[in-house]
Amino acid sequence: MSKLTINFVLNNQKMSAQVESDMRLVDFLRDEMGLTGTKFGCGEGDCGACTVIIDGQTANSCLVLVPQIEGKEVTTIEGIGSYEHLHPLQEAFIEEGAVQCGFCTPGMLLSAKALLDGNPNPKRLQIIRSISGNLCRCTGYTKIANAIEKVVKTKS
Amino acid sequence: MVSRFEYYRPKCLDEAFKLMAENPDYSLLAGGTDLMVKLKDNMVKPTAVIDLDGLQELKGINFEAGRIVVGALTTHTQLEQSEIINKHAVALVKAAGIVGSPQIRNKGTVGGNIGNASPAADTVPVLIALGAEVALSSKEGVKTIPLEELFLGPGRTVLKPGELITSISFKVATHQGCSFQKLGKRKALAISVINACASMEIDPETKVIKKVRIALGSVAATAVRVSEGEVLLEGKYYSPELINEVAEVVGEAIKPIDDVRSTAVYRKLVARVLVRRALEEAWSQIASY
Repeated sequence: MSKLTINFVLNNQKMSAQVESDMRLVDFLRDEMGLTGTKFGCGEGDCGACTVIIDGQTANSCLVLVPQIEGKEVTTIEGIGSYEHLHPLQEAFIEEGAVQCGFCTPGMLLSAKALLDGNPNPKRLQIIRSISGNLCRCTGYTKIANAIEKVVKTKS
Repeated sequence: MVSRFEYYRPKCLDEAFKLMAENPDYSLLAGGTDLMVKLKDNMVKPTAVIDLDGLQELKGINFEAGRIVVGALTTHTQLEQSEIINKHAVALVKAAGIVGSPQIRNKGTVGGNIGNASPAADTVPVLIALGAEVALSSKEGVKTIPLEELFLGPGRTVLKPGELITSISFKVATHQGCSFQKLGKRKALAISVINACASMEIDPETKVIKKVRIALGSVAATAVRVSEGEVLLEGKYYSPELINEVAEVVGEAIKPIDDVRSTAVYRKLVARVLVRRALEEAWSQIASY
């Protein structure tokens, strides 16, 4: 079976790639693009560790085939800030102690970013709901929600 | 590594029908939230995956001749945020908003939720209680059947090879209330232990209950209507005593099983509570007109 050529935007960069038709987006990002910030957890959409943003909406990249991103914009954790210039959410996570083992953090940050991009002034309950698809096995949810809330309050 | 299957993204229904005919061992891909898990676990081994995302005719929520028509590719997020659905079917808003997680709701579609035929699907009891019909299309044409007639068992439907779900529709009723209740083990990412939906329509003049539909999920091999409870209400006036009696009868009538999520005994007990709450809330919606 043949490889497919797909065109898409990854972290604001236009890309073209040859892919196997049965490859999952999470494997493509990690193994082909070297973007290992996207974590692989359960592979079933239960944990949210592999969360990315596709055309403005969060998605579990373990539940997406690479050919499905043809013509779409994908944002991973590597696309929202750099070591020199962290995203305000990343700053807030550090300040609030919202990172423990760190495995859920990229997914948490992308879920939070998707929320704030669509609604800059979410209520606490909306914040909690926005990260309800991201499991933190260290159970640090309170500090994660605090960190997101801090960004909301700083902006407004 | 060699791909296990070819990937196709048809641009119109005719192209999709052609691909289904040419690749007998196909799997349809809508949101992928169920299919991708089955592919991972080798529960399905298609030679072709047909991605329906390019089929614009399967998208959107519209009014057509007094009915709300929901395209099969409508995501749970779109259902939850739809003005039309918020105005006319709040129970469906609630069910769509409680499926999986935000990520799952962004991808998973109502047509997929139905076609996957899980007895625990959250949108299904609501759509059954709303009297929904599904449109099944093939290259021979379109046929429309009541949703409850689609299901044969867990993961099994009457869909034939070459056929796909294109839309779901239901009548907009006035003087009707409809409420969805779910019991899961957590508030998010929880497959229903049991769910229930009740719709109730009254005669606005006499206040007599005209039409009732009670549907439950996760209590049988498919979502089920419980007519034993419905007939007790039709032609009567609403009263809390009557609601309690109906809830008892429904709890007795269903035959759930023990499985990984719960036990038959517990489900029969909780069914009474969910049905009572659903009927109470449906009534309160009517009363607030």
